[in-house]
Amino acid sequence: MKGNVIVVTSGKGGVGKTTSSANVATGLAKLGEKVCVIDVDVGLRNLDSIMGLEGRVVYDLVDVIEGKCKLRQAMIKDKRVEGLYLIPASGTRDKDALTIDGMHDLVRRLLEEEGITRVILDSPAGIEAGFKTAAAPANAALVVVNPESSSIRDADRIIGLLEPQGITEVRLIINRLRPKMIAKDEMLSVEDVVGLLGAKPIGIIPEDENILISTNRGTPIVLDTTLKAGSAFWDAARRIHGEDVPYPPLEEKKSWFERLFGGGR
Amino acid sequence: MFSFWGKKKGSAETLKNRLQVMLAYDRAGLPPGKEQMLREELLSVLKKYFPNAQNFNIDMQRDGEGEAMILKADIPLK
Repeated sequence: MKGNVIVVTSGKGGVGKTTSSANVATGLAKLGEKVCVIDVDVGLRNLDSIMGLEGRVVYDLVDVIEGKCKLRQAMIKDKRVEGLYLIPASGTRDKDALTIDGMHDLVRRLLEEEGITRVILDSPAGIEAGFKTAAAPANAALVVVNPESSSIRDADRIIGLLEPQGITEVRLIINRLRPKMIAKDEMLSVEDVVGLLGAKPIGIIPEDENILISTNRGTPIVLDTTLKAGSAFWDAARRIHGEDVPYPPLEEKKSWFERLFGGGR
Repeated sequence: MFSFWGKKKGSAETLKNRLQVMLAYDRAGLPPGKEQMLREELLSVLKKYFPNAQNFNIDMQRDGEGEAMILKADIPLK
């Protein structure tokens, strides 16, 4: 993706926005980029724990914006991956403490003074002020969507709001796909989601219980590419980085029973 | 819904069709119930100006790929 300031958004909550932010940021750093991922979900701090960095939080986003600490002091350096930094959200303040000017200035300083080459902004759910503040400094967007009714409807709303914000580079991360249900025509396929939303995917992530396990451990799943979702996030990061990575087939091999009897198709 | 072979149509197809309509109305910023009101009001205005004309047809349609909604009015004037 050309945009070096990417907002990760979804409209609906609970679709994997923060997980996507953590994994995309970690993957991009592994690819050699200097990445700063910012938790803009002020008041509901989560990205730090998903990345396993909660024990190292001293200062937060609101502290930097209000000038209570130096920018460098609020950037938690990830020790597992070179070139990865997290600015956590404040767990106590509310989102009114953030200003659009403050966010613009912060992103500019990261790029110009701290040598950061890619900023990932983890947006709060919803389509109101919190989302707009997170999206303000962005020049690209990742819209995280699940193949179900309310997530798609909310994603469509968000996509409609991105363009007026001047964000034209919009790509989808389609998360929680269940190949067996798609094969039975009981879940929307990647093609269905892409057709409905009129935006191109850049990540196609199968449902994988290992995501919960890696979140429990505080280790982004992208660090283990032997796992289904880890490999899918790694591919997504490589595409965002600019590599041409084909999409592996989502469908699992059919069992002998399904081959014999047509497997419900 | 059952096809020729009696196989049940998947819920994915149902959802896809429902979402196509939902998104079109959402994008147009017009809830389906209001479309009915709009249609009735337009018809009453047309009848006021053309009391003898008949067969007005006002319809809301999705444009081609379903990206946008079009308000289509068929108004034959004799």
